[in-house]
Amino acid sequence: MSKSVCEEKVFNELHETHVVALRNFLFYKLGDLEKARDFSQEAFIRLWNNCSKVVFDKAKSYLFTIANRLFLDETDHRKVVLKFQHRTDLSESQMDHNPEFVYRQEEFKERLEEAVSGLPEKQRVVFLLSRIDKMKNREIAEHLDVSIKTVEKHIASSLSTLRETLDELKDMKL
Amino acid sequence: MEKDQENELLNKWLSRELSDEEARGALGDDDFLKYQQIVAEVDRWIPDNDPVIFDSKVVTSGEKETPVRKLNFTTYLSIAASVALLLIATIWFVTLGDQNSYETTAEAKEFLLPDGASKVTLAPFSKVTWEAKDWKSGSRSLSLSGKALFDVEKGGSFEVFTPIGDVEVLGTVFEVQEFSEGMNVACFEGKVRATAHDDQAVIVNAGEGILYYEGTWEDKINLTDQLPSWLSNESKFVNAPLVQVIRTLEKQYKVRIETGKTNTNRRFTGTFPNNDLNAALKIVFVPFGITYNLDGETISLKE
Repeated sequence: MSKSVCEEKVFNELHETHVVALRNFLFYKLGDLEKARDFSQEAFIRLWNNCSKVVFDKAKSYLFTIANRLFLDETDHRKVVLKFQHRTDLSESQMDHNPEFVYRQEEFKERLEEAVSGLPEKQRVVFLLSRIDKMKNREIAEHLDVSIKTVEKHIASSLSTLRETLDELKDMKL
Repeated sequence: MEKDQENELLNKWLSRELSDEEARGALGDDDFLKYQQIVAEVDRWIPDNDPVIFDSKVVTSGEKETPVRKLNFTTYLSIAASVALLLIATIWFVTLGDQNSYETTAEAKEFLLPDGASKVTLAPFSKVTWEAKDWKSGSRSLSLSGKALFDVEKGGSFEVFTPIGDVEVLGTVFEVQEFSEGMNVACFEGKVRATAHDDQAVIVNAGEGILYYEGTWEDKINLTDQLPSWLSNESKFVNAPLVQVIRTLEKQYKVRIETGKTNTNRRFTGTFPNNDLNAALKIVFVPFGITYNLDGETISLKE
């Protein structure tokens, strides 16, 4: 028999596994860390209240569906301004990665944040889930209920849009 | 380069189907290095380095919607086999509808729980709350503040949560007392497992009592009675921290005891009556050389 979401132990496990990805997902959509936290908490509350109706394997999809609904119901859509911190827990592969810098490093983070904030919402969310949360394309497709092809398209388009935006900014500065 | 073609190359590179060198060759030096710089930067990002977003306890332990549901009485009645019968002066049969808590004031009372068969006897000024939903789904759980004796019918899990720790029934009659500084578990029949919120767990067998105090479970003591003393109008303690005795007095007599500089870590062994405050105070405090002053509902201690 599958695990029951109503069991506190099971629920805690779901919370531990998914809370970060869910909060981040909402953050990428809303650009507001506080609100992202509140909405993700609300999604977990709904999961807990409906625990007998949600099977364990579907819990993650349920959380993302609820989170998306909360986002859609939110009427206060401000312009998204995303700010990030640098990870304190860099993995070795990330440390190794030492690219040659084409863009000037000075203010690069700020300009890239601005460019990311300006991406169309769906592209932005998919791109950041893939890069920051290291979600597999298949997982993203499942949770956002789109095809893997769409996910691939969003990621590649995001990246090329970011390059174009940065190039424009660079040209303006010259 | 065609957009589609470039996108395909980017996807292959990001999913590591293409090496850096291959991607660099196909995309051109300039574009490739730009992409690489962008990806390297984003890969270092995190919305927030704080690993705690919110505690799942916030969700599971409280601020939920209050359930308004009918309870199922018959399920458990049909399989009920009595574990123990408690003789109490008054037996209260309560119609359980939207009820999700019981509370006592000055008197101990017995209540029927939502499974229709298990019973809880609450000591004065104690309270149990529950979520009807949990009981419906077969997980019998209660939150307790104060002290209570549980008589649990067979079938399904049965758990008692307190601010200090949780007790899970393995088929039994047991007593739980939480007081702000610790908790006490006494098992009269069967077996329970008690887990403090620091995850230290103990199994308490029939005839055993155990105290959680100052971060540890102390040695078990052997119970000399078949049922808790407070059911027969006395409160009995064996090597109990004075603070536990004081908290029990406060609830029993609805008074507030100001301990001042009194050392409440000392241990008390003895029995006080539950219907004579003056006698109770004398029994508890005189042997310690503590003087007390009763002013309305406030008692101040001095030594």
